[in-house]
Amino acid sequence: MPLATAGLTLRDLVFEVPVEGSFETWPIDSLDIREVQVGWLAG
Amino acid sequence: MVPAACESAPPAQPENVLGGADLTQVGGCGDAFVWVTNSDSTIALTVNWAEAASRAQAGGRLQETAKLPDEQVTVAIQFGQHQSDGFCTDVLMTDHPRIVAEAPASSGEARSASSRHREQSPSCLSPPPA
Repeated sequence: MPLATAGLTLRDLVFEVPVEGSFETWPIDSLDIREVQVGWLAG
Repeated sequence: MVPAACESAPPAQPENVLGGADLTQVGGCGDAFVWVTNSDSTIALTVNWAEAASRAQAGGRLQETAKLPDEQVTVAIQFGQHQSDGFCTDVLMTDHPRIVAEAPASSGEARSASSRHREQSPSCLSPPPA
């Protein structure tokens, strides 16, 4: 199975998370996900 | 005399803000799904980028920025237990993951820098599935 290297950068993420019947805003300012090896079928 | 910079406490971080240092377990599979969790696997962040791997393979690399929400890119946060055990596997060998709450990202951006597999030493690669 060949591999790709998936580098992802996530910025200014805001989630509306359910908390006891209401919603709370959950910010993540910046998150880098690097060097993740992702496999896929060559076909 | 204590320098002024040493007298002030570091700025307080809201308890509900995560950073990259908090999410220490990472993995991925498919075309393409990437997950990260915190050390005790109670918080997970998932990214599903449709056809990111195959497009990177076809074009050599994939460098795009998606403004969320986006039909091709889904980012979500999950709260629960044993979450890393449930990603990218159909055989659960340990405690079953339990998701208590899940929410998609309502705004923000995701940038991909995926690329075709680069030659690496075998020790850098995950073992192939049996």
